[in-house]
Amino acid sequence: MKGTLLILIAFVVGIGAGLGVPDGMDFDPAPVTSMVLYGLLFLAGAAVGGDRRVWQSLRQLQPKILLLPAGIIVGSLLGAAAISFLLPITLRDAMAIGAGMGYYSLSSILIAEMRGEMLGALALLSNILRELLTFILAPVLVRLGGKLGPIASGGATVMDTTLPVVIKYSGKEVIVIAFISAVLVTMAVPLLIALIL
Amino acid sequence: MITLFTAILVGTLVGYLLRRQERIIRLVDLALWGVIFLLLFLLGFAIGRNPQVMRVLPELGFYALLLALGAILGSVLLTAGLNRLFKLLP
Repeated sequence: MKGTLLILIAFVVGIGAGLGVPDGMDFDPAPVTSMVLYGLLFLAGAAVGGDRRVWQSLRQLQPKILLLPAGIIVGSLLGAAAISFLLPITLRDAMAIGAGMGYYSLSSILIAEMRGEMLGALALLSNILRELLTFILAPVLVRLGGKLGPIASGGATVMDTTLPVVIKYSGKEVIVIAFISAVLVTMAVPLLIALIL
Repeated sequence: MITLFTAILVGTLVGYLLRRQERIIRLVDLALWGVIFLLLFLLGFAIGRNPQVMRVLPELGFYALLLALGAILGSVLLTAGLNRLFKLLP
């Protein structure tokens, strides 16, 4: 939660700086961004790979548990796709945003890189809201979808920020399953976005 | 696409090999945060410089809420259905 706040601050300070820069002074951060992008993906992979809990929980993996992250991914894409019919957004763009699955930092940066800052901003807001809504709606989600409800809603964020709320509403016995699923969902985010866009 | 995939895969492998070097892993986490901060600052910067995006920001917030709700509902309902069919929980 503290991390989300800090990220929002970095983003808002960035907007302020962008607004404050005088028009004559042109500086295009795009080349910097694309170079740093691969570094970001490398580091994101290394952070997951270096997390010993990941490998410990993968060892306990039952094959049918793979249906959980698969369901989260397909459900997110279908849900966002359905919303695209209500909004002036293409099916493809909506699905890319849904594919963020709460991993707002990585998804918004990738989407901004591929489709410009408008869609990047939308991806950032939407995926931050996914995390916040998981916190707020967790009791409702348990009633709607059972113990898997908050795990599905949290998506990639169940690896860190929303894990406590998942434990509270879904119970301690789901921790390992929830964590494995979130790891797989997290790894899928950049690949899905690249495939969709 | 392939470069992207390679970057993640190599990262995961390097992380795995270094997983017992706690100081390095902590540095990786710190660097990841730093890069994310920088890039989101730059994304904000680009948005602040773009009057077209700034004008529609409130609308974007509303679209974002609907998309988030759609993705949540889709994933919750589909996993609930899968759980009923395949008993995913012990």
